[in-house]
Order: sequence, then structure tokens, then C-alpha cells
Amino acid sequence: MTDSRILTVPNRFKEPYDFEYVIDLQEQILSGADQLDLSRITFIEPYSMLSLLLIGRTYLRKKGTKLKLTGIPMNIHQYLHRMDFFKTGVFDMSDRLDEKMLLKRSSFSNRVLEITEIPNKERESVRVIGKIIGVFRKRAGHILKYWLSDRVVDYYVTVISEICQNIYEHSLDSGYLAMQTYSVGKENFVRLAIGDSGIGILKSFGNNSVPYDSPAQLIELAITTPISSKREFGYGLCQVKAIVEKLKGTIYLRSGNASVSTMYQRRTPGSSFLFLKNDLSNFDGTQILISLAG
Amino acid sequence: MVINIRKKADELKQKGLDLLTRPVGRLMYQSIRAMLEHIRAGETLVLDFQNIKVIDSSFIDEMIVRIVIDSRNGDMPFYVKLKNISEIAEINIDMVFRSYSNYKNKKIVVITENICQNNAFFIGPLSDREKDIVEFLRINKSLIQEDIVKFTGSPPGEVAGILEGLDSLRVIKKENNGVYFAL
Repeated sequence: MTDSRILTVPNRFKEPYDFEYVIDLQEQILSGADQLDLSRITFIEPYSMLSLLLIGRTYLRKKGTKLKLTGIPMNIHQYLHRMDFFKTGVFDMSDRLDEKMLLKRSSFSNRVLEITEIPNKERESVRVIGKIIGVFRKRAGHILKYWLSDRVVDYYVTVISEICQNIYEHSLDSGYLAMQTYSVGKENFVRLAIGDSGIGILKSFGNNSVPYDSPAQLIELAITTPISSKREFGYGLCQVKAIVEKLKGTIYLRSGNASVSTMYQRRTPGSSFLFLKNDLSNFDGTQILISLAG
Repeated sequence: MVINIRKKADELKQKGLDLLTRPVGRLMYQSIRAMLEHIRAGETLVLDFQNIKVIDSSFIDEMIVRIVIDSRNGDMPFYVKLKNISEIAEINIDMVFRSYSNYKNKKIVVITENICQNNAFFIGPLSDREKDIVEFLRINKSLIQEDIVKFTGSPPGEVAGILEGLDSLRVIKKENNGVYFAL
């Protein structure tokens, strides 16, 4: 193996917008690299973690071999281990951290939902969704510590259920979910990330007569109107948007080469609150991040 | 007929606080549908959601929407009333009913036992005038058309049309003697 096949990943794992720099490297990773050097990463949030996992899975599917992760800083390694990132079996992890250095599942356990695979088959998926909701309800007091009320917990149960169902109903692939609360300075965040590398929103609407001008506009329609690729009309994403709006949170939804973000916490009367982007680097499937900050 | 949804969910091995997804909605619908063999014409079916927290849009579409539609069709018309609906369940039902009504161009509304966030006892897209009449009837239990004409000040023909519409939505009951009843 030569050094030229090691690709050093930039420290762009802090926000979905930031992670675009890593997505831009995907072609390079899939065509030339066999190792990813993560030594520059100082922080990784749930959406970026899941998207890295999807890159690894695509690599494994296309090449038949696992992409090796090297140079992982200890704190990142501990976090990824704690989130069951390595349990997915997607990456080659010959550089294991000493057992003694790994984070114990104690108080920290309550602030996360570990990475869970959402199957693409209805029956299994329904079982997994039930399990995720069960764990979420047990840990909600910690995950939603800064926003806690029965109402907010119930809102999140709806959001988790609606988005997870979209995976087996529309993506034709399995996906992953992860959730975490954390603080940066005085600000607290709770992030729910769900992603798959399936057919994406554009292809899902392939035979549908919904008119749209651009891929991002189709995503916008999917979250603002009850359109559905499978039925006469659908409710899921619309309901997610309505709930996030009530909570004054943000949605980042990316599919294929387009994204839409909503920023209800910054919405001022009369201003636009939806931000559409087209012509991004292609990234298969659909990835969604729901965030609250406060 | 009163159906305790918590009990029914336990029978169907749905143990959590929430009723989510289409398959679970279908399962619940089939189970309730089998019980409706015994319902009498004009009877009110009360679905009691005590100890159920979240019901999502998929469950609502597969279960509540179908039951409400069934209540209007067939040889054995009946009425549906929801009881002990949580706040989030109400929000989700309202959203599904509004989407259904808009896209199917066919209004769908359900009466509730408890007061809702719209400060009335129903979920769904009723107009202000329809809402006033449903509420007036709920308070008075039973009325004839003339009472409602006096209450609204609207022409009798218009009131008759609204009452017919509300009756066909199954949110009020019309008896053969021309008396309207609240559910």
C-alpha cells in the first residue's frame, strides 16, 4: 500500500453545511482511497457521523472491501465507539483503542440514541421503530433536558416515527438513526439525524406528476405540502415540518444533489425561512437533521 | 359501543405508550372492524384513547380515517366519537383530516368527548358557521331546524343545507321526526 491511497479528511464534521466538503471528496474516496485519515477531526456531530457511515457503506458495496479509518483522535474514537459506529461493521478498524480508554455506558448513555439501523422491510422496520421509541422515552429526560416537557417528548416521538417510516416506504434501502444532546459553550443542542443511501426524493417521485422547477424545489414541496410518491397524498414530512416550526428548530434535508434548510428560530416576520440549494455534489439517498438549540 | 384502545392494543401485543406506523394502524382497524359486526344502526362508537400518547399520521390514516369513512358508508351507518385524545394525537389527527379534506375534496371530521385546542368538541375542518351549530347542538342536546334558524339568523334553506351536510359528515344525528341530536 502506498501513501497516495490515504486520503486525509478535513475537519468538516461540525455542521451539515460543513460536511459538504467531505461529500465533495466522495468520488475521490470511492475511486482511489483505501484509507481515510481522520487525524484532523476535532469534533463530529450526529449528521456528519451518519453521513460518514453512509460513505463507508457505499464504499463497501461498490468495492467489496472495507475502507480503513486511521489516525482517529482519541476523543473522536471514544465518541464513535460510544455511538456504536464501529458495530455497524462498515469500516476496517484494525487500529483499535485499548478497552480501558473506551467510554463507559454510564450517565453519558442517557444523552444519546446510539446508531440504529432502520431496515428497508416493513415488518422489521416497525419492530425497530418501536424499540427506538422505547429507548427514547426512557432517555428523553436527559436527551431533551433543556427543552423537557411531555409535549416536546411526544413531538419527537412523532418526528422519529414519521422519518423512519419514510426509509422503508420510499428509499428502497435501509438507513440509520442517531440522536444526541451536547453543549458548545453556553449553547445546548439536541440533534436527531436519520439518513439512507437509497433512491432519494427525486427518483422516488420519478413516475409522479408533481411539477417542480429544480430538485431543491421538489424537496421543498415534500416538506411543505402533503405530496407523496406512493399515495394520493402523504403527511409525514409535512407533519415533521409543522412540529419543528412549533419547536422553533431547524431542518436540514439533503437528497441527491440538492438540499433545503429551514431555520424557524431565526425567522422574522415577512422573511424567507427556507433555503434551497441545487447543484451540490451528488450524495445518494436522503439525509435529514432536526436540531434544536437553546 | 365503547372500545378501549389501550386494552385493544394490549390484546394486539402493542405494549408501548404510542401507536405508530401503518401496519399497526391496519391491525387495529381490522380488529375494530370485526367488533363492528355487532353495532346497531345509528349507534355511536366511542374510541377511548386513555393511556395512549402518540398516534402518528400513518396510524391515523389506516385506522381512524377508515373507521370514520366506514361510518358514512354501507348498510349500517353509525357515528364515531373520540375520547381522551392526547394533545399530540389531536394535532396529528387534525393535520391528517385537513390534508384528506383538501386533497380528496371530501370533508372529514370527528366529534370528541373532551374539549380540543380549537376550543370545541371536534377535530377537522368545519367552517365557523358549522362549528357554531355543532356547539349549539352539543349544549342543547337536541333541537329542531327552527331553533337553529333562530340561533344563527340565517335563512331556513341555508340552515337546512348546513344541517344536511353535518348529518352526512356524521357529526350530528338526524332522527326521522326532524329532530337533530348531538352525539
